[in-house]
Amino acid sequence: MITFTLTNTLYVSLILVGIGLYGLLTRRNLMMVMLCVEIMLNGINVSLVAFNYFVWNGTEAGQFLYMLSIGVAAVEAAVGLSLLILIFKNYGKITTQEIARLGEKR
Amino acid sequence: MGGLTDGLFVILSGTLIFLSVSVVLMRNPVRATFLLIFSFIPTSGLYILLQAPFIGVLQILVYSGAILVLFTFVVMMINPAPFISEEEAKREKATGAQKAIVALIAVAVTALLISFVHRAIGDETVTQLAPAPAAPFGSIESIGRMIFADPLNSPYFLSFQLMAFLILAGIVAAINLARGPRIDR
Repeated sequence: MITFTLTNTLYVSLILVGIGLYGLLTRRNLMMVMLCVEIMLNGINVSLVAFNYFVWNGTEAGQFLYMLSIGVAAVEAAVGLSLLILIFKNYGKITTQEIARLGEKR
Repeated sequence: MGGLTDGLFVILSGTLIFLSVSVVLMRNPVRATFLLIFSFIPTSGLYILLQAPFIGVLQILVYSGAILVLFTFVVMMINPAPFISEEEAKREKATGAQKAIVALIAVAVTALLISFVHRAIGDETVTQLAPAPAAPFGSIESIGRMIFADPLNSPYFLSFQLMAFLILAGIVAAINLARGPRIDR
């Protein structure tokens, strides 16, 4: 039975995006929210490389897009984590409630 | 070749999905980060199956080696667990009903996307119809040639350079945010 097809690889990537979405909406810890964003990005990267292999055969455009994507992920991690440290310095904890207040008192 | 590739694909994607689910459900952020690092090993295997060995190496080197280690450092630097009281922690956790609603939303979105994929390419099983690419396909040499061989005509060269500027901007922003109040002499 052939399982290694474009459809199945795209299903795996979409399931990863779904898992990340669930975590993004349920977790209150900002650290976990960022990890869930990484899971979603990972799923999207899988789909890029899969398209490169199955459809755009002969050129490495999808792999190049993957390299751009991890560049964006690195920048997002750096800026997001420094924001996280700043929130932790100001509020003492890093839950989504803290930034939902936008500095106002409860 | 066929049977082995199919079996490996099932094993790798199953491990990947299992590890990702456990990242989402794990309570301790340190453990979740480590599980995410482990989940990049089957991802890298998938890339090697998809004839992208350089991308597979990049996944381990850059993603788990640099980005996720940064995450680990930050998680260990800010460990807010002792500051949260029992009652406060209970208030801030999502209730069962909320989780059920969110799970419903996530499943619905995933099912919608999967149905798009199914409608577009579902019936015809695309399994590498074109002839298998030549040996250096996906190697560092091949990707390097594609990007840098003809800088004036290549669409990849400019975006590669602009990516470098984006990373520079990210560095400046991160330093500015993390530096704290400025001290005038």
